[in-house]
Amino acid sequence: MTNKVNYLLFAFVLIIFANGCSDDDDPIIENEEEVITRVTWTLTPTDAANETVAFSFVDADGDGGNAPVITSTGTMAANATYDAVVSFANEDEEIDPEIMEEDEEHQVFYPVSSGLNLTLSYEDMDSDGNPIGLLTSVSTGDASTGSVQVILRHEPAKGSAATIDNPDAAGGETDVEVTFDVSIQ
Amino acid sequence: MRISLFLIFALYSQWVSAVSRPGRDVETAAFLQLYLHHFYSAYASDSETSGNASLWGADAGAGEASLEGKAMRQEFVPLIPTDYRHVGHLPSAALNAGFSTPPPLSNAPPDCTITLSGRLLSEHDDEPLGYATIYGQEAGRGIQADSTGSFVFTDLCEGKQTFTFTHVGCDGETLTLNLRQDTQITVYLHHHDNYTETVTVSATANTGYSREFDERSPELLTDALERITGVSSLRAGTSASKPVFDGVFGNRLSIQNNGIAQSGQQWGNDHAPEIDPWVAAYVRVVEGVEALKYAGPTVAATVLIEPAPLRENEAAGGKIAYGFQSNGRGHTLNARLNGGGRLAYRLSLSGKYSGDHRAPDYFLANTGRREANAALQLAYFHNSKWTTRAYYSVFNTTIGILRGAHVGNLTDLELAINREVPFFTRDSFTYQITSPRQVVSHHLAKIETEFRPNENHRFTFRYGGQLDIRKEFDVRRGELNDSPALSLQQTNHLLETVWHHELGPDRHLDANLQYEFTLNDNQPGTGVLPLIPDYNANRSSGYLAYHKEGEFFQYHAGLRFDHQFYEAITISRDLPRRIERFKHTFSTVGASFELRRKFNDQTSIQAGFTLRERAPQINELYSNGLHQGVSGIEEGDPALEPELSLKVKAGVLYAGDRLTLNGGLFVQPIRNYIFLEPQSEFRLTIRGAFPVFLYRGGNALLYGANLRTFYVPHPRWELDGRLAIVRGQNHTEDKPLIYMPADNLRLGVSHTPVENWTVSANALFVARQTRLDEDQDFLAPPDGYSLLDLSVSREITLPGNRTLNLRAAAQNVFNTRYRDYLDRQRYFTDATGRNLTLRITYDW
Repeated sequence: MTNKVNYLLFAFVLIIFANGCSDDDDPIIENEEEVITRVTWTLTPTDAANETVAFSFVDADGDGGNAPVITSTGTMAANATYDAVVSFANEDEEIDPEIMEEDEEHQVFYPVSSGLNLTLSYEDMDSDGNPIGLLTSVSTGDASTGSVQVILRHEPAKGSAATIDNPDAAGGETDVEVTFDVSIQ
Repeated sequence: MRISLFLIFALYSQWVSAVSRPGRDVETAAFLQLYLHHFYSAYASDSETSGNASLWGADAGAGEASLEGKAMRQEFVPLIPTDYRHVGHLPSAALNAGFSTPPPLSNAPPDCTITLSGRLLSEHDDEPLGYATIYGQEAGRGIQADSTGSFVFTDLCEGKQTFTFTHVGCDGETLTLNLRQDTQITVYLHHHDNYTETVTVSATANTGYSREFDERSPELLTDALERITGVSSLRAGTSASKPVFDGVFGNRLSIQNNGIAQSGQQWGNDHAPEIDPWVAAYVRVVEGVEALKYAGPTVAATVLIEPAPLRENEAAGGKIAYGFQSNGRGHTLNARLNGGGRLAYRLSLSGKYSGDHRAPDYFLANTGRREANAALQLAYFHNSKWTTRAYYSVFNTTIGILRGAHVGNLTDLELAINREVPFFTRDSFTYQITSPRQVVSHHLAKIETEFRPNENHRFTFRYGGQLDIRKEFDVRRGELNDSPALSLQQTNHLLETVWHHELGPDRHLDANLQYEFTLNDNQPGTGVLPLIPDYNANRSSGYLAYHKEGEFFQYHAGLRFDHQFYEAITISRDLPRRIERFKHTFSTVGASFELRRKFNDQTSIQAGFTLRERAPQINELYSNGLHQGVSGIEEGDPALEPELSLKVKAGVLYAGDRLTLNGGLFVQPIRNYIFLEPQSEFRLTIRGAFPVFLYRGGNALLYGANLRTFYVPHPRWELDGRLAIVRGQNHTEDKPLIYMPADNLRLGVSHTPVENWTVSANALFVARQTRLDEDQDFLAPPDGYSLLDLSVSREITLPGNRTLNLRAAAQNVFNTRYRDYLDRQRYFTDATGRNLTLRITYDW
């Protein structure tokens, strides 16, 4: 009996220090297909005399890592109208088709800071007749500065009291919330 | 590391010598001192502060029904039939009670025809110890008490006879009687070593598969744990809850499932321990020396959740129960089958099915739950010196998470906080569970073999393996909705050798060596960078404890050493994504010394300290990403140092005939206390700006008091009161610690109006948590609240030792609208409203 116990003890101690296990496999780097890394908001003037304005928010490496880059081109004219298109993408693909496919579950909102003379209206509809917000019409007033937020909500309560510039009543989860500084000249 | 290897080797050699030359106690004791000396030096060279702390070694040896305990009380009563409730009515935790010899009688028959009969009761509350076993040493045979703790041992010979009384969850007792005539006795067994009593579960939850604990099967595990003084629950609504003891939880309060440290993703505050309450026979929180013996990260205490041990003379039987809960329209089915013999077994099965729960004013969308669990326990009794036990359990659950609690960013959170009724609230009930949801399976396999080469030594060799699979599904776009956003698989292996050595009638030594290996892998296919990286971890540990239990003076001293290694395999946050490997090693020590002084049968005091280091866990070192529920970005710090905690506690116990009072105070300074520090800058992401929290080490202080009273004014009435107060301060930030339980008081009354009927009422009073600065939370702590629970149960005895138990209960009787500070879903919703429970149990 004593011998048996001895051997067992010895075996256990050996196992304890064998330390043989380890995981040498590298983890698989996920294809982050869900992540949105690029938002571009392009405003094409209805009056050809004005220039096209584009805003973009790019955070290629997602949350963390390097800070996002926010850029804009063109100048917004006072008392003008624009056909605006917002587009969401990641480094691999456009997300817009997915949003169109689930248009009842998505809506884009555009809260405008007070003091900025800018109004928006929806120009697209989902199959239930509710707005989506990828396409909008933008009208500017007198020269002013401020900001416009672009908010993409997933599963908002469509048809609620929410308006194009106030999504509060809609709920849902925010997939995108970026702010662009706008100057109307 | 070298020192630890040396120590472990030295311990091993000592074991060998102890085995080959049993009984050489002097040498062993001398070695022990040497060993302690080495340990002390090892620690002293490691850390500057250790010079001030005196370190000793010892262990409690509890956790299994051991036969070496001293505590018992017995009385001899005349043979005239007696009402036991009156006879035995001395709830007391006295260490030792002298007993009077039975009245001498002449003309005792010379042959073996004496009958010893009587009853086994729990010392604390007179609960019958059903199915306790009584073994007559001289008679060479054993019997089993019936479900009411009554036993009849016939055909005993005249003269000195030694009997051993054992019951699950209690310390076994040996009693020598000088039998001259038929004798009737009442034996009181008590629960585990006295020095852990301040933290021992209310006795009713501790007596084996007590009816009360079984009745809690439909609830979450922590609801049962809350019966322990000082335990609160950190909740995530209806979906998860974790125990909080003396202000610590999660990574600081490990959970031992059947003696194996529960692995899995225990860092998550919304990850409930994957344990079925139906399998657990008793739950306890242990501290000090006893807690040192267990693996798992902890700063002082550990939670033990254990099934009842199997015995060779286990009666074949079973239990089946069905329960219905009105809130969530839940169904719970439980079954248990057991049998004894050389191969004893117990099979436990349980299933739960519930739908949306309801707050007083609205349904909580997507809060259904499914569970299917099984456990098989086997014990093989090779011979009187050798026993092998095996255990396997599987836990499977799908848990719905309140839809309105799923937020995308800080704006969403603020909107949700300001809502009267959560977003996505539905008007109707459904059983359906959609995203967000958690799907978890947990497997635990354990095999252990115990040798008792002689009376003074006991060796246990144990293997525990765990596989934990956790998938968390979020509300996502398109086809991704069917892919988990978090998918982790963890495997864990534990090897342990345990040595128990009797040094004398009231002294023993306990030691163990452990090796643990953990593999944590993110499973591909989530489309999300993992919050917690893949990692490999291993840990070698040694533990040694010395235990002295005199009649009036007891002390316990223990030492523990852990050497831990981590390899984290992370994915870089910037582009191009790269795989990086980081290695860490931590050597940590633990030491505890506790003593207890007994003044008389009623009164004793106890005091002790526990010094323990806790190595940073992987989430504290490497978590990186958005923590959805709290809308914050949390980042680990790979440079964190182990926490060093010193917990000092003192208590007084008065155990009179009718009144038991148990009060304790503790103070626990923690150096390098790891906490999440909010950063002043918000981080801009495509979903808006998020607050950033970094893990860092600081200095913290926890202190508090617990008071438990148990009063039996009349044999048919029991009153129970438990008060817990805890305070925590982060000295580095000069702010209170978050998630400290608010002061709470629990009062209970139980009444037996007529035989077999029990009526009980329990009230919970929770104060508002006022010790929190305004900028520490998104929402001020909610108001205090009080809740009332009522229950009535009836036991019907059927022929053939079978019983039928019927129970009706109501929780939150007044449908009180409330939110609890420790509930992380208090931002979004009221807590659940009234719940009516009906339960029927058949026992054979």
